[in-house]
Formats: sequence, structure tokens, C-alpha cells
Amino acid sequence: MKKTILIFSVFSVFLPGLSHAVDTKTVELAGAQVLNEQASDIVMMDLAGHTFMIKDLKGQAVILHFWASWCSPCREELPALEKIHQEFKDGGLTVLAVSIEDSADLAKMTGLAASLGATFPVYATRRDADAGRYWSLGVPVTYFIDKNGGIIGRFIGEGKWSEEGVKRLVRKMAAE
Amino acid sequence: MKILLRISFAILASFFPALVFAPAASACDYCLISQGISPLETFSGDGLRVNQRYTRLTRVYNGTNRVKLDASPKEEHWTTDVTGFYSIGDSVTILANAPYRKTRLDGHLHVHPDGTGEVHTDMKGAETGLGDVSVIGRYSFFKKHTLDGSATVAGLIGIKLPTGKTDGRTDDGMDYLDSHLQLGSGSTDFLVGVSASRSADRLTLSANVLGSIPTNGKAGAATHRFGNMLNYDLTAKCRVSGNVSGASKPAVFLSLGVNGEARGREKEDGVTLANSGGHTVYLSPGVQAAAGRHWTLELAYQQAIYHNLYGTQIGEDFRTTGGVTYLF
Repeated sequence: MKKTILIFSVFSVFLPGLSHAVDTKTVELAGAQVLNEQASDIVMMDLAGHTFMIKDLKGQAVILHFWASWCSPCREELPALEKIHQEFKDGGLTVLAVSIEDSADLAKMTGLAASLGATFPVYATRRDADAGRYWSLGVPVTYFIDKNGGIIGRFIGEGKWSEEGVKRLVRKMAAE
Repeated sequence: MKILLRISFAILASFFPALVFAPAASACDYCLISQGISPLETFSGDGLRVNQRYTRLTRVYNGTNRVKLDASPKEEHWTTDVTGFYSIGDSVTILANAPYRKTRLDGHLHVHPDGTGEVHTDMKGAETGLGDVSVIGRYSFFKKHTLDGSATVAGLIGIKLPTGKTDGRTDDGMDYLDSHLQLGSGSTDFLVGVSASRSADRLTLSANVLGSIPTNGKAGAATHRFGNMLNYDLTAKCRVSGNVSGASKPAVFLSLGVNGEARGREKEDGVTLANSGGHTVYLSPGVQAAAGRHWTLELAYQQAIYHNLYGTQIGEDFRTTGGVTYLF
């Protein structure tokens, strides 16, 4: 018995990160597809012209959401996403709402999001082949990225933002 | 039959390594675009599907050889399938299908003991009503989603119930209609299958196999048993316009598939029917449109391109199918 406790204690030193990792069941219960790959980096730009990449957000849980003004489910979804942003913004979650339209329209996109009640910033991205992989199925599409920069889940189409399963996923992402 | 099983599994076996080693692809299990353009493709989510199918048979075959007779027999089948489907969680879907059928005979093929045939053109008949209801469960046991796409493999198991009548007669009331023209089989049959799909950007490849193991039923006054059946298809689908999850305009897909039906010989009152069973292969182009989050429309045409029928029989010419699916 003492030997067992000792062995477990030795291994548990190496396990704390794993013990907080978001499991696939949590992702599935959120109604999201389970993914398990490192987020490929894309350049994003805010309204002030500052650029950054996904890797710059390492250490934060990220909801990476792609949308467009011409997409009616996208517009309908923004208020629900805003509620998630409000609930978890002080708990270590970053919402990145990235428009897939031309960066010249970013001011218009920002105004549209604000009119729909969104307070999170809207970003543009370089519309190259790497970025295009994220929205090849269309928009809206949302990726859940953990603090290590790994994509753990995806909503294709509107997300189930009001459901407890999604909130549980976000809580776990922010806590790990 | 064994050769056909080997062919079917070879098709799937060649598909599975591609699933395992393929580069990342996009999902199809989740969404509208897997709503049935291939004949056997089953569904995810909750919804209702209504599909209209028409099959015509006029040509006579002996093995792979076309047999020309003085007159042509003719069978027509119209089937309106109503399918409700309900998902339990992310991996399990339950489907219930109720077919409403209309069958028509316009000239019956009679085969003599020496294998030669003649057509009784005065023999006509028709039946209309509920066919055999089926219930199928689908479980996705393999799902791999990546940034660029998805691969999914699901197992299916189901049962077909003897809800259709089996005692339809010719117009003159003198004879019972053949088993294929009856609305039902009178038997409880067991269904088992595998369904797989892999998507990459605009392209989706799906493969489905569904086997049917029948039990004893009825056809007219006789005990009748259909042979074991294996239905399979391999279908490629390409999104030519629109986005899957956006709503600016409908997503339109073009598809091309090969599908086949392999049937064992039938038995009537314990006697194997020599002129029954065989293998038919179709080439199936189709189009599908997903309009918004709820609606999918589709049309497909299946041209019979290969027959290998046991004995002398009437075989399918073509089939047309069109359907609408509503996701709740």
C-alpha cells in the first residue's frame, strides 16, 4: 500500500497539467466536433492597424470565431457569443471575432458587430491559403483553442452558446 | 454471393487506409450535406425526409445476356419513403422509415422449364398501400476531425417489419402478383451495415454497405423467402457553389456514384427459385442543394449499367429519385 502511494505520488508530479486538460467528452457534450491539432498561425489585424498572431495568445483560452456580414446566421449568433464573452472575459477567456471580408471593411464590420450588441473587438485577417483553411466550409465557424495553442473543438454553423455544455467547456478551457 | 461480398469489402478495405492516413479534411457527419444523396446514406441530427422513387423494369436478362422477346414485360414501382430520424448525442441516430408503395404490372414474364421466356401481355395488375416499415440505428464509432475536414465511420443495425400486404392479385383476380410486386414481404428481416465518409474542402467521398438477412414471409398463398441481399454504393460529391454553414446562398453539390444490389435466390414453399436473385449495378449522377439550416433538396438518376441475373428474369432499366429533408 505504501509502495502504491509512493509510486502514485512520483507520477502525480508529472501529471498536474494533464489532470486539467479538457477531455474529449466535455467537447462532445458542448455539441462541438473534437479536434486535436495545433492551431496553424494566421495574422490578425485590429481597427488601429496592430497585427498579432494566434501564438501571441499562448497562455490564454481562446474562442476563435470566423464570420461575415453577408451571413445571416453569423449576425444572429453575435449576441449569444457576446454573453459568453461577458460571462468569461474576467476568467481567462479571449474571444477573437475574425471577419473573413476585406480588411478595408473592418470599420464597417466593427460597427455592425457593435449594433448587434457585441463589445468584443472584431479583427480582419490576411485572406491567404493558410487562413482560408479555417473557413473552407463556410461561416460561421468557431474554434476552441486551449492555453497551449491546441485546437480542441469546433462548431461548424451556429454554436450552442446558451447551453450548459458549452459553458462547461469554456470553464475548463479557462481553468486548465 | 461470396464474390460479391468480397468485392464489397474490397471497396471498403481500399477506403479505410485512406481514412486512416489521409490528410486533414472537413466534416460531413454533422451537417446537411450528408442527408442522403447516395441511396444508402443515413442521417445526423433530428428531422424528416420525404423521398419519391420510381423504378422501371422492362428488359429481360439471362445472366449478363439481354434476351429479346416478341413483347416486353413491364413492372413499375413508385415508392414514397417517409423517414423520421432522431439523434441521441453526437454518435447515435435512430431512423424509422415508412414506405408508401404503388406497384404496377403490365405484361408478365413467364419462364418455361427450359429457360425460355414469353410475355403474357394480358396479365396486368396493381397494388397501392403501405410497404414494410424499417427501423435502423446508426452509431458513429470513428470520427476524426481536423482543420481541413473529417472522416467518419458508422455501423448500422436495423429491422424491417412485415407491415405491407402480401396478397395482391392481378386485375382479373386469377393470380397472385409476384413477390416483387407485393407491397410487403410478410417477413421480419434483419439489417446490418457500415457507412463511411471522408471530406476534404469541397469534396466528399462516401461508401455504404447494407445487408439484409430475410426470414420466411408470404407471397400470395405461398411461403416465400427472399435471398440475402447486399446493397452498396460508392459516391463522390463536390460542392460547386455556396457555403455549407453560411446562408448567403444555397450550397449546391453535384454527385456521381456507383451503387449495386446483390441478391441471393428466393425460395417458395421451400423450393429454390432458379429465376431469381442476381446482381445489378447502377451509375448514379445527382444534385443536392442545402438551402439554409433546415432544408435540403435532391435529385438523382440511377442508370442500370450491369446485370448478372440468375436464370431468366426481368431486370431494372433505371431508377429516379427525388427528395426533401427538413432538419429541426
